[in-house]
Amino acid sequence: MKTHRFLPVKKITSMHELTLGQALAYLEIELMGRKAQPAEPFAPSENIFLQNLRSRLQNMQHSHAELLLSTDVPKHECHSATPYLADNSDFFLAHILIRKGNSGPEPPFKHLNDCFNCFEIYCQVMQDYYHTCQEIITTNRVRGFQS
Amino acid sequence: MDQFVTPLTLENLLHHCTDRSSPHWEHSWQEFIGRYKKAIYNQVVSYCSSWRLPRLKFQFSEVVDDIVNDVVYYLCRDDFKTLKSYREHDNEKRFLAWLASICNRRSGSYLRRFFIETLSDKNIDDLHDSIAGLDFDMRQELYETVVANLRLSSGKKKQHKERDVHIFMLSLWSELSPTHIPSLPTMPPLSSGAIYRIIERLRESLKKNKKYFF
Repeated sequence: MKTHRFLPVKKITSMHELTLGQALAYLEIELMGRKAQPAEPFAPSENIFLQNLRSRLQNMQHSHAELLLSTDVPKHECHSATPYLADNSDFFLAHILIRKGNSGPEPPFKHLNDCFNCFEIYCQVMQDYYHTCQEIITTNRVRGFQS
Repeated sequence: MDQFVTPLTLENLLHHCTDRSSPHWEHSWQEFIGRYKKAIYNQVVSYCSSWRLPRLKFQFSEVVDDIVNDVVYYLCRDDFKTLKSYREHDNEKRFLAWLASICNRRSGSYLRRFFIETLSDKNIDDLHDSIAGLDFDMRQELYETVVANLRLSSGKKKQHKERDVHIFMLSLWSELSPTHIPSLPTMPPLSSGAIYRIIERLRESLKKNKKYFF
């Protein structure tokens, strides 16, 4: 896959080539009923990763999604050794794929300002997501992809 | 009067350096500077080299000199409080490590201030490389300093203060420009013009208030 110059932070999906942000961009296309082909076919581990995200999204309870979309992170769930957003794909599934449009609850801005660990993870996912969206639009000519 | 024999042991050196009434005070400081100036200087240069700020490369030697002076001032201030706090008088290696940690702290503090000054009059895009070149701890300290200053600058009761600070940090830290940020699905409905205005407003208030921060 084409890679971009990322900030030197821990990759959220260290086992996969495909990062969480990139995977979310492909899933968003799928949810729109379209198919976006990557520049190179996905590796088996990347397909498994995508499949896991699909099933997490399908099985996500409404109440769980609502909790993830709250404007603050649950108390005592973020520590410097285990930041709340580290490997928390559900948070990004909820904020990127479930919270449709710009009208839903805002992300936990205060927490992101307070917690550098979470902020860098968030930044990385958003960068990957945005650049992959751009790449898909450019290479697959998918129109109306982003709202 | 005690005989002044050089080189002094570390214990004697620190003892005389921290006692202004000692007859050897001045000589001890000359010896201190002779012994440790190079170590202090090298440590500061090494720390500053990891910051690739656009303005820094043009003022590098002045900045290093300022920090070296600041380190010596820090050791001496409040009746040598910092130097007196060092306890392991029999271990030269540990003393050098302790001195290096002070150099790093003072350099970090100076450079974060320098960064905020640069931030208030340089384009944010020019600063991405400087941030990406820093190690994790330096980035974290810088992030926390900038956020704290932005919060102070935006006043107490500003509506959307946390959102605006986040937008500023996102555009500073990531490669997402103000034109990209409105397309992020997590963002509230704001135009790129509004994002530009938020960033400029915060930059202006940083500039206006920077004298209060450090």
